[in-house]
Amino acid sequence: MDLSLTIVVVAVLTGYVAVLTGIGGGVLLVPALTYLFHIPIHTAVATSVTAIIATSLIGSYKFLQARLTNLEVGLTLEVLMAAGAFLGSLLSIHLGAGTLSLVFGLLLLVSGTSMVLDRKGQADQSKSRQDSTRDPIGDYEVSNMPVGIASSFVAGGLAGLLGIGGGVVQIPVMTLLMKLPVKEAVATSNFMVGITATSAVFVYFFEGYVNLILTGQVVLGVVIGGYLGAASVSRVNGGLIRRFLAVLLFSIGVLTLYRA
Amino acid sequence: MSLIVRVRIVIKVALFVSLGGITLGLTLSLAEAASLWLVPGLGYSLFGFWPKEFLRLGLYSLIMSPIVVVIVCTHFYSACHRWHDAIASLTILLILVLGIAYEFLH
Repeated sequence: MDLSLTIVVVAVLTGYVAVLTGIGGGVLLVPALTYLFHIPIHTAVATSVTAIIATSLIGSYKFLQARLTNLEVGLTLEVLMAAGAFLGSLLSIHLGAGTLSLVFGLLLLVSGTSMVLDRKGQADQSKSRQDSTRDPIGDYEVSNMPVGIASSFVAGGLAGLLGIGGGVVQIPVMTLLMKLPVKEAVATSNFMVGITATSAVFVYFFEGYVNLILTGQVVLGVVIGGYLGAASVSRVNGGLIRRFLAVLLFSIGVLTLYRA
Repeated sequence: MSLIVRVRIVIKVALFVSLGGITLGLTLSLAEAASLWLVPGLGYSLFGFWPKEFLRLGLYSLIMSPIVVVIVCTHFYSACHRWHDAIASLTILLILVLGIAYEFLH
């Protein structure tokens, strides 16, 4: 794999859009790597999982500074999420590229559809993310812990299987079922996805799917994009980008399913 | 020192080492590619093993950082006798170690 400025630029864009719209970077990164650069899907998933560790660490630092991360909830849920990610990555390497593409295509369709249907909720979430540096952690009671733990296993499995963060499952569960405030749920999920990705990355690493140069370029690009996105989150019309992205994800999902 | 402060320090150091290693590795790879292009053979003699080693160091640091974070959490909770959180952290550590052991178990 040679050095490619194009890969860095695409990774910067991915990180930028991921922060701006609140979606996980993996949902964008894996199709970008497979379709634009013809990288095998297992390598793309492995690269995405490694990049998620970097974005999680940076996000966690900021959220910990704002005292929004609920470490107790995060660590408790993480037990089954990490186990799920480990099993998901094991499953991933045993699946053929076609099957993995099929599952990923379904995920893209669901993500695109939910982005269209849940614009208001995401707008609220985006707003609370913007406000996240102001309000310290407040008093709230966490409920439905067993449901949260069970859903963490599913979220972890998807994360390990498809190279996504898992926040797409965890944040709705934490806010709707466990009654965590949105800000705290986003912060806690952000802390968790790094540990989740770590438990998945070993399998990909030892199976030889982590390409050093490709992953280095993507990690660096995603980090730069993440910083740029965080800096411009209050100035850019995130709603417009989300609508465009919803159509894009839906289209790529249909294309992926068709090819698979 | 509170848990949050400790975790933040770990993350800051981890990001510094990881991103530093990755940036240096990629820069040297670029220099290697350029020197190979300008003077064939020079790149290998100058940068034959450097770029990959720095990249590997950066990525290893990145992958290991969440494990260090969990170790810090476990240590803190154990010190405060919050046994249920300590057990959670220890279980996560066990899963991560199982990941590292995957290669040997495989």
